[in-house]
Amino acid sequence: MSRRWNLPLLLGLAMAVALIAAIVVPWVAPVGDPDRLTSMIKVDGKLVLPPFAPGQAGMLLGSDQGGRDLLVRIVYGARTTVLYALLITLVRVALALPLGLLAGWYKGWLAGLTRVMVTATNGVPGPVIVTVVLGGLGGFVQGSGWLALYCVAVAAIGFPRLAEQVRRLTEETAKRPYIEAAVATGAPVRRVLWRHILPVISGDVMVSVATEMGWVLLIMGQLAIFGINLGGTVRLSFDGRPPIILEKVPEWGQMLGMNRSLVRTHPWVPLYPAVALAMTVACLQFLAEGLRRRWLRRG
Amino acid sequence: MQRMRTVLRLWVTRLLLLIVSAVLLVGVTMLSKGWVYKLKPPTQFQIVSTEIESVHYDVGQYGAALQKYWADLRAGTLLLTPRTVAGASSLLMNPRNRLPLFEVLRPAWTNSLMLYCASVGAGLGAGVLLGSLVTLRRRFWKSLSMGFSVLGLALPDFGLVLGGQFLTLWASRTMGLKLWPILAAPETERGWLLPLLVLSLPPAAYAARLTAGALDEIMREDYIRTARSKGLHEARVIVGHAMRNALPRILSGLPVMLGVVLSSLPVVELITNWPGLSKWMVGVSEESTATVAVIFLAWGVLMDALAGSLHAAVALPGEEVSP
Repeated sequence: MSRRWNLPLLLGLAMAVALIAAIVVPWVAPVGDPDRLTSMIKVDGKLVLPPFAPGQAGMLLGSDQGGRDLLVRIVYGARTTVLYALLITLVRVALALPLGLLAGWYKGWLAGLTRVMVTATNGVPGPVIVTVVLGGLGGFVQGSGWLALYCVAVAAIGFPRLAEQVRRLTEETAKRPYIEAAVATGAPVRRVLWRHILPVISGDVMVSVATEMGWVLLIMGQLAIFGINLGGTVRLSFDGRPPIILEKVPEWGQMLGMNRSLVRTHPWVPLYPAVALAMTVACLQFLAEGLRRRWLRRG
Repeated sequence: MQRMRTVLRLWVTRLLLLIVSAVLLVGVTMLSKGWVYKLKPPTQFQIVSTEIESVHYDVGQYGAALQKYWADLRAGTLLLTPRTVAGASSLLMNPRNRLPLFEVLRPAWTNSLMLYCASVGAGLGAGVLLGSLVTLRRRFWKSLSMGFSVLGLALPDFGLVLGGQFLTLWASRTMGLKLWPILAAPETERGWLLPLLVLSLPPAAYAARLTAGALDEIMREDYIRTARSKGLHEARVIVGHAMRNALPRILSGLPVMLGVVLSSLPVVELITNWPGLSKWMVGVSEESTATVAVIFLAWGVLMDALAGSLHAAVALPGEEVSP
């Protein structure tokens, strides 16, 4: 019997291992200081100003405009980026799961509301909604309040899609005979949903959650292009040179967004954070696809 | 009759949704108009001070801004102005920057719409073609079709644009090859390549997945076997019988494809410098942001309703059509 490889799952797992290594490495081994500035270096007797090209000044991926090592910043950035993506995904799940379960069970206006919310959030590009929300409400909050608003806004534009998937799965599962039997024996709705429906749909929900986290990372990158970033900025002025604005927190989206104008002159500065973000999105999508195939094969 | 009722319900729901969402979008965008900044008196070296003494929120000012926006919108006299820094006086604003908003948005919207339509068309066409490869009996083509459908949906738009820009730079520096311009230009054919390639990839991948899934099932049906046994040419079996029955399933994914392209459009426009609508959303006044957001909303809802109507028209008997 020929064994068919689940290529998306294998690829996803390999990329996930690399990602976890990037998150863990700074705790177990010294990788360098992500905020260390280098104002200039000497190459073949000539003075060179940042951004340094890959390989210069012992920096494998080069540096940003402040002479900070891109590889070190990308390694440190994995933690911030993945942590925020995970947090936003959890908020999405916390909002979508109860709504989807209840809408799938009671149907009626709750199911209609879920469908309408999906149409409304799918109708407008995500970055447009978040730009509007942060532009309008951003003035009312400061510091961590702004961060919370960012997370809630990004979570809010995606949770109806997840809720709709949960609703559909719940509606399908609720038709099974053992659910009817549980209802007939007088089991309360909360118990039926929690003990009988949720365990059955949990596999599909896990696949959706992995996909959702990929979408969250995607929208974080898109928002960075719109100039909406998680971390703050620092103004840096080297002697005799015009001041430059740099991103403060090593976060992939911000590293990409703030440096995208350098694509013509120093393309590696926005490219590597974009590659890191793209690989993580791809990793999650591969994992979701791989898990879906695995569960499909199991029937 | 049932189909007509479904389509009618679909349009009424979308219209109501459009009105409510548009009001919400404008209301939220204009919220920042309610802030009142009290500036410190200017020093002897300044004409106007930019230092803020105190800030408070005035609901009346917010209401007045909303009323003015609505009046200007109805009269078609909305102006496009750059977003001012907190508290900056209008004296600082260059009068030459005040442009009639609708005159600016009209060509921008045309450019965005052209790119959108071309991407959806190219993506759908390529996706259906690639998805049809599963009907070929060689495993390589099947794997290619499935691999493309997974990969196309997994790669993010901004990564693809930056990768494309880097690739053309690298090819030009190392081999002297000019693949496509780094920044898009709608007036030249090459200038379309990068944004079109990036935007058409997700719908192509999604259409390939739907087509492959549908054809894989349909090709095992009895009527396909009958058609083959009658001696029909394989191409005719695929196009005339299998594809005709796969079409409703492919079209059921149209709202998703349209939504994915629309959600990537602003980002691709911004990175490639495409002269579309998105340019007038960032760094401009709240009025402009609100208007562009409502245009995107109307566009998305309209496309969703059109795709839903098309699906309802070709849906097989008994197939569920979401109202």
